[in-house]
Amino acid sequence: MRWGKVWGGAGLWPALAALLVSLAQGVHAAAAESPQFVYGKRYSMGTVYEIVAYCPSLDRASRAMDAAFGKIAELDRMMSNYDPQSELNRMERSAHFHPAHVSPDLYSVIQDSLLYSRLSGGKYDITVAPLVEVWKSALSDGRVPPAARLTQLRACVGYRKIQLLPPGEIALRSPCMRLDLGSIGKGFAVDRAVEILRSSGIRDALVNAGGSTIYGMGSPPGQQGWTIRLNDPSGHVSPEVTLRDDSVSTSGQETNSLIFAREFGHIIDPTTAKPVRSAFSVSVIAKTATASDGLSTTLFLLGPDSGARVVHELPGTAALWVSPKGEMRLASTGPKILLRRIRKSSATADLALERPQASVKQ
Amino acid sequence: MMRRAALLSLVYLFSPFAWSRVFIRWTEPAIPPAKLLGVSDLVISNGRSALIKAAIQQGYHVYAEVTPDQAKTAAEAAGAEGLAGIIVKLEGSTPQVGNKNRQTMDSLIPELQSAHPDLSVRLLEPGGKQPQMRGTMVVNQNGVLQVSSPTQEPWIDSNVAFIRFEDVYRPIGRPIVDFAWDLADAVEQKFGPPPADYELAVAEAGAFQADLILPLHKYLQDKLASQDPQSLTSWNEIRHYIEFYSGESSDTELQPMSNVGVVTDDYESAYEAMNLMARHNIPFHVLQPGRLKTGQLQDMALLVIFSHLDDASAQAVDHFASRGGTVVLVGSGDCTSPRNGDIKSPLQGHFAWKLSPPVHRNSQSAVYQDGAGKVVEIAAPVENPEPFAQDIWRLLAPPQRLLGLWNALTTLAAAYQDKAGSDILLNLVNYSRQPIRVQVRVKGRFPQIRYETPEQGCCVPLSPTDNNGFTEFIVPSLTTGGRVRLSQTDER
Repeated sequence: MRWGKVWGGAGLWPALAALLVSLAQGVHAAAAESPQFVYGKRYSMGTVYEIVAYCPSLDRASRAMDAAFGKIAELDRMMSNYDPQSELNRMERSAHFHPAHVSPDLYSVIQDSLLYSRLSGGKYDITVAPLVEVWKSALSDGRVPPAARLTQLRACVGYRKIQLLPPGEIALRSPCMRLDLGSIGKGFAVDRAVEILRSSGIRDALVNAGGSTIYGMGSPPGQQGWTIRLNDPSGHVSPEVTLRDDSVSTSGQETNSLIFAREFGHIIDPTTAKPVRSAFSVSVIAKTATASDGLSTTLFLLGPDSGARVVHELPGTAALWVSPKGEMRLASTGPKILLRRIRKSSATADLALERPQASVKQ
Repeated sequence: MMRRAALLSLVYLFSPFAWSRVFIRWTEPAIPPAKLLGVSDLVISNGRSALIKAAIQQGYHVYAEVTPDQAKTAAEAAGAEGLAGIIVKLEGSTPQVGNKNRQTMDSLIPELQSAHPDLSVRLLEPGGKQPQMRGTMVVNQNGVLQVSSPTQEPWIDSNVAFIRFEDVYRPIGRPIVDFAWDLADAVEQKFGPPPADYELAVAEAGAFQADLILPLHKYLQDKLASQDPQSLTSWNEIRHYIEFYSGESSDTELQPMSNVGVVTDDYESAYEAMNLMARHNIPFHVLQPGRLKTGQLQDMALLVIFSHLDDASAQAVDHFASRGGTVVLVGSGDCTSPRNGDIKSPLQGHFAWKLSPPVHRNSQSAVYQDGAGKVVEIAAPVENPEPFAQDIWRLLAPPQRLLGLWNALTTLAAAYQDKAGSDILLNLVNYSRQPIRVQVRVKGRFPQIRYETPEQGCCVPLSPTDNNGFTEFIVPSLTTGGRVRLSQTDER
């Protein structure tokens, strides 16, 4: 609760951070009718969601942000693997006996995920959950799961065993099937938050799900869009994207150990039942956050060569793969990713270097 | 001087125990009565004579915040002004043990305390920050929004590293955390942080046994001074937290529980690693590099060494490793070639483990067997503390992991135990300030567990599960602060 609410001020907002003070200070000098800068953050789905908005009415912005955060929290409860009472877990317990009626949101996010499974020939698969769990448990103790156990669990995996029965029922054709929406759920939540902000009259906002998926609505005052600098594992380029009613997501493996020789990542390839061993990080731009989120994992699993072919089939999509050694691959059917500097690289034919625009700000 | 400081420490030790003491920083001219606010300790800048006088008249114990140069004069004048104490604030942004100013203070504070026994004299080191859960967006110098973290996990700004460092290097009394609020947008700049932010600051200081100077935003001060009913209602929520952590307690015999030692006298070089170890709930305490003794290390499982050791301390560390301990030497030089780099290893000398080739080596580290234990050399200073902290966790064998938390990415824990190990008190702080359900595992068998919070008071029994010598339980709802008491005596 903010103090402002106590005195009938600006309403219920999440706590603020001082990260964007310089932006806020720019707004203070503006006239009362000018867009006011507002910022909020909330913990959900194991990460921090942040919303930055410009709106002439602080009160409207605060109510819209509250509603957006409320929706994200609702979706967290719906998709949680940890909460035994989440809609996802309840569906999993019954849907292999008989089709389970699910909410439009759960139906929709599962339906969307299947698109990326088909695009990747099964590399991307939300039914990978049993493998993820067994690897996570083993790796936390520095072990590798027994091969026999992995073989056993592979029988539980396979997106084709998910049966969508329109308009709102789902059947699972395996009794041990479990779904992990972690590779698409954050993007789905960002899209729903964006819908709420738009329907509340907010035109210019940024919704960030832990840095892995970011959607830019409209643009900050006086700017062409929201310029975001992406994670660069190589340190050789500073990739930037300017979002205007589109989204960027990034997938990559977790950071490596300084000591231990074998380090596995957290993304499991369902076709091999093993963690992917790739040094690449991939960033994807798409029109929706659901698409950029789902695609970033898909393209990470596919790798640069197969992944670039997929990108070329999708309008309004771009992807950039970068390795710590500076290897890069860029594929795009429209959106631009700006690379500010390169010291050394093994750029491929697809790589398009562009000089940064003069007004690359905020 | 050492004897005098020791005597003063004893006096401090036998004063009424509380987990934390909260001082309110007051800056505005109008001030409400102490009874209305429900707290008695105020910090006011030196030189604000009218405000100090008004505060004393309103029933407060006033502590004047002074610079090192003002300390002697302020102490001499304190009696006439009716001050309860002075707080000497050092300049800078981090604690600096070797700093000349700090060395002067290390002797001056006990000296002043001795000369003015009725006056409380405290040292305030810079380096505190607002405790909070951060997002991943930052703004760089050009105003470009930049994703700051390579992981999706929330970043926690905590004062744990600061407090643990100060635990060892303060001249007297508990560490004091002082900070300024981060105020991000128009609403916060006008109205100040929400009550939950104040509660989090109080909970953190209380959990990690530090004193706190809590700055009240101007707007809140004005509203409290005018006795605005709604503001007082919200203030009372904060008061619950202050009372929960500042009330007299019988927990005097409890000591911080840890089996990891961080050997350093340089806050900045060890800060990131300590911060991330705290973030991963690896309980540690700081050890001074010049004072390591074999006996002191006997209950430790792992040492992380950032600072150069003298011969006696190096021998103690070598002995510790040979008896089965794990030693991590940070910044030991090039691991891939003979040790001829520019970086001076923290551990110099002729040790048996150096005579054999490493059992494992990569471009960043080398692992040597040393008797029953091992020595890990990490070539460079810690640049990426996240994998470093994960490595420390993995270097601890499962039976050595005293504490484990699950579904608690925003929660830090501070564990304390009595000498016999029969009672443990676990303080939990949730930096997201949104209610969460936390799974906890503590080493040992504890059939009785009770949970208390500032919101609900004392106590809810929790159900323990014994799992191979570890006690597992679930904290049903942790909003900001909570305390779990584990006992080997089942009194039910």
